[in-house]
Amino acid sequence: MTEEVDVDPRIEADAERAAQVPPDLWARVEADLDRRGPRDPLVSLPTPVRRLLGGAGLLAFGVGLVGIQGVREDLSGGAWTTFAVCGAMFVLGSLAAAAFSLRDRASRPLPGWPWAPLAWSLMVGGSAVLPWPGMTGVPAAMHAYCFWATSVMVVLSTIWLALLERAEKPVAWRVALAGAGSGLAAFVFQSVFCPGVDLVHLVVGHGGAGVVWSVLAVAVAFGLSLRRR
Amino acid sequence: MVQRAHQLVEVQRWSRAITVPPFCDPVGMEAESDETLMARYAADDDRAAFQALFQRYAGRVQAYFRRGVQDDVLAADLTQTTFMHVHRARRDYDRARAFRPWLFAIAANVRREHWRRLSRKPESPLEPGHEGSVPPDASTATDRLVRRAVEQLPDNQREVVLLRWYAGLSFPEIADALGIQTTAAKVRSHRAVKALKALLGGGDD
Repeated sequence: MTEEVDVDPRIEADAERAAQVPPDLWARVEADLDRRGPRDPLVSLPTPVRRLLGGAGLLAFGVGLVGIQGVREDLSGGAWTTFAVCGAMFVLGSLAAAAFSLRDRASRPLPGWPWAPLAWSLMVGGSAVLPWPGMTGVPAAMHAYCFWATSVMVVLSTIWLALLERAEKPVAWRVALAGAGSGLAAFVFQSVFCPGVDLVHLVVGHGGAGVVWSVLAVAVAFGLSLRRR
Repeated sequence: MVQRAHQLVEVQRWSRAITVPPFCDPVGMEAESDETLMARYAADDDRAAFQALFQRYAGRVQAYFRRGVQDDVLAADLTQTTFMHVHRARRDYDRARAFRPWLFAIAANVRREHWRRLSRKPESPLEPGHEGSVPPDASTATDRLVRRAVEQLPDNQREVVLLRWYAGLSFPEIADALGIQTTAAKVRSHRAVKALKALLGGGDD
């Protein structure tokens, strides 16, 4: 197993032919370079800065959501601490998802296996921290209100992360991660306003928006990515 | 200095093996290393530096894609996409990292994304007998045999073959581009060579 292995001459000849570049290729690249879009300043930023902006956007939309709706008043000191610790876990997960969605193209490929324990730990973490402190018996009308309020944040955050992504066409797994991160953050911030902890309310009102809009965003990403240049 | 000498040896070795489009760096760029050119492009958006890198590597990137996707038009599109990603990622470039593995790490990711998209399409362009848009004069029986042989390799071996013989990277560069150990790259290459010999009939014409 030496470094220099004799290569079949037929492969050498094939490689020689395969390296012939169309004469207009540089002109095409140059035309792309000259066609500066509105996203250019954002996507040209270094990846750590894009990630920082992505995370900051997520938090800003969350704070905005709470700012518009107000802060719940049912929690006292100890309950607030519990809520804050649980919420921080979810927000950290959402920031990690957003950061992964903005991965640099020159990064080495990630093996598939870390995703399974990651998803599992999130599930275990979620089941350990829920139910949040709060009230039960949420009226059904609140489900729809919370769903739409959360939707606003999920959609805005996902669009913001998509604007920071460098690909011309959306990449499904990146969109899925951006949507999941936005949904997770929206889930927490909506709970800063809404005290409802009924399972149905949490699933439909606080978590449903993240799932619904993420699935829609991935479907749109699939469709757009299949269109050839 | 040693690195520069190594690059020159690599370029000469490559040029012997594969006739890439002639080296025609813009005037004054011939002596510049890839890393210097990329650093200049990252710092000053120096278009001439980027063009020099394109002229040095477009042929290798094209060759990597051409046998990776078996379609000339698509290979040119993916080469274009790769250089656009290089442009967008220019501020991420770390001069301490060699340029070639960095470039081909991007190309490998572009190829992976392409296959992920393709796997969701109802039709596959890799059906038996598919020749893409290869010029008729290149579609000899031998060419078809080589293409089929490369196509039949497992993906992790094909990737190493494409990077080694079509893109002209060394094993440490392949390891860097794919995020694997150099030994792993050599093992995959060794297995691929054995498989190719079997598929091509022992390597004799």
